[in-house]
Amino acid sequence: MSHTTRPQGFSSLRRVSIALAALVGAVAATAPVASAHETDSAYLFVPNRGSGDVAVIDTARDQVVATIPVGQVPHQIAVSTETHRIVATNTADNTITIIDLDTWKPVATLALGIEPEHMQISPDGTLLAVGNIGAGTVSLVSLSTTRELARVDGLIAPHNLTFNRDGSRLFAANLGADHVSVIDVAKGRVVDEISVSEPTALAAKGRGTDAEYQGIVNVTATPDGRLGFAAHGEGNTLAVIDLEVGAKIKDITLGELPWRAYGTADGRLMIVPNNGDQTISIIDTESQTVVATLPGAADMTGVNTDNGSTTAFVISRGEDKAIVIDLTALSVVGEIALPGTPETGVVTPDGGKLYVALSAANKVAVIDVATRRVLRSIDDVGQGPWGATMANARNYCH
Amino acid sequence: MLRVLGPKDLFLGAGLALALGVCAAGPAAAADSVTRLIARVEAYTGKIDAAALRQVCEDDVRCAAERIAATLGERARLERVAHPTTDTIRWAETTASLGTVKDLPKQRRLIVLNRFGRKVEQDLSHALKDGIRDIVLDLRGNSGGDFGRMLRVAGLLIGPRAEAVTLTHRNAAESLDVPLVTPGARPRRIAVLVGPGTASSAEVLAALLRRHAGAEILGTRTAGKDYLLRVIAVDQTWRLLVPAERILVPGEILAGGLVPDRALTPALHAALAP
Repeated sequence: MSHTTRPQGFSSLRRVSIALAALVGAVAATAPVASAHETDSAYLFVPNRGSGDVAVIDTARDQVVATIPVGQVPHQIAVSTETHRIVATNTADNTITIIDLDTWKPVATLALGIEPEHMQISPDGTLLAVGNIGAGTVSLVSLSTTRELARVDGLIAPHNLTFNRDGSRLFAANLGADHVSVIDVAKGRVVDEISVSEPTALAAKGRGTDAEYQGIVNVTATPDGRLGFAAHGEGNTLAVIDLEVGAKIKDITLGELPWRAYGTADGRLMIVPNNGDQTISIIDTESQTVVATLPGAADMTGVNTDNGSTTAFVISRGEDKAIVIDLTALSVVGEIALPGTPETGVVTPDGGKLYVALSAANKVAVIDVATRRVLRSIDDVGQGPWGATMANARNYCH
Repeated sequence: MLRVLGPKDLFLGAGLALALGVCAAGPAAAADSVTRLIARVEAYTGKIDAAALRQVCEDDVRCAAERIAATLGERARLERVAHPTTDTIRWAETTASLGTVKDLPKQRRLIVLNRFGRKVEQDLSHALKDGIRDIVLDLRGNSGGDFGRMLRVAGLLIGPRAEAVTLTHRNAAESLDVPLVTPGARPRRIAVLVGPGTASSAEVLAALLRRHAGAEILGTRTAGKDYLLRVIAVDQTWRLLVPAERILVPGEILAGGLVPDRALTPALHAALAP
């Protein structure tokens, strides 16, 4: 069954707050449930921006086994094994498509704000937060009822979103500003802002900023949910945020124009590509210091690490390759040439393979994590594959 | 008793909002967007009368930003945000910083630097390759931009320099270094072309090149914008640019415009023609 839910307005704020409070209560009372569908982890979901669909790839055979039509310009996929849902953000349609994880059939299309792009699922898997980057709002969607519960305003080009450990708070990275907004999920509103960097300094006559202005792309949490790391894209700093208290505790100086932080599975390290000076900063999360600065490449907008936290693959869009970093020696140990322009990737839950979407080539590259070699590429996955998402994996978007 | 102003009063009373210190507003409002905006601006402007602002704008953050901009004078401005596309966000598309790059006689290379864009460092490094010895840096159409990137461009061209720039901020001063930037081939001699279209960060760059690398500045007097603006997000649609610090380059005079060493010669002008 498919239906559309209209967004809630302020007139229904009280009702929404009650619903959200109940939902957060349920989150706090329920421990995360393991997926009942172990085979969910066997499939890779690839949003194809050009063809408006999601390719489903069987990772045992590395073949496309289904194509799910969604809306225009799907940007990211999120998977909730708890509610058996796959969600695609249809950026050009201002909608999301909610898909049944078992049947791979769409069950609902919800109209959200302008340009829904990035998503995060709450720790219990039932609440979806969607950043409407063109509207400056965040939609909170129940994956159980497939209804939009609240639309939070007061954001500034919200990019990636990060829930805290119990799902009661959501940290929104504002691409258009210097601060992270803190959303109280139960109240459905912004309750605080955390400054990441002092405002950008301009000396300019006429127009001061342009469309390339880039504030904060992401707040990357450590696996224990205690700390968040937020880089400011216009400078050279990384803020360390106490996600439990909701306050910045330290600034770390990086290379120039950092993209965002990516954490290792063990929480020991954060890896930050700096696209201004084409370096890679490695941060020890315990000491909160930079422990290595390594040579990078052009336009690095993705990093994957293996399950043992010994190897990082830094994806360079500008040079069609992945830089391989030994995270024990903290050194670059090689490069993997990719047969197309890479976007983002995902390491399989068992840690064996890394899948990287190659947008212009309409392919997905399959890399053997242990040997650090391209095993094969999967052709004709759709037009403009943009990312790679799996259930029970460490997923991310640009 | 203070009259509560409506939207039509906006911009009519420059100086009013900050000057009004008599308003007894109600209990302190909870931290909201207006309160947070005021806190961000106050870091650069000194105390703002929040109560007066709230009497006019209540919780309307854009109204508050308009009032603040009006109060801070013509140097402050509200700017409509140019929203990025996914390609600009991911670095796939950037506006070029360099215009023409071409070789001139006598092993000189003309580099037209139009802006300090996101990839200016890479673009300029590329233009300096091939063992070029002298450059003519054309800043005549460069109206400035990101100050940090400008300093890195200076570092790329002349290497690190300690305390090369001073920022004065109310009663305090701060020295900034030209940073060490991974060197490519640094030019031996630099000539800088300037004119009235050379402004702000571009003027500072010209001054730094003359002061620290003996660059010769050719052309006509520059625009004379010698202050930094801080970019403060207001909401999804607007940013407030707040004049925050005055820029000084020791040994150079920026106020009123940078005076060139000499005019552009007809011969060089002819050589620069496309």
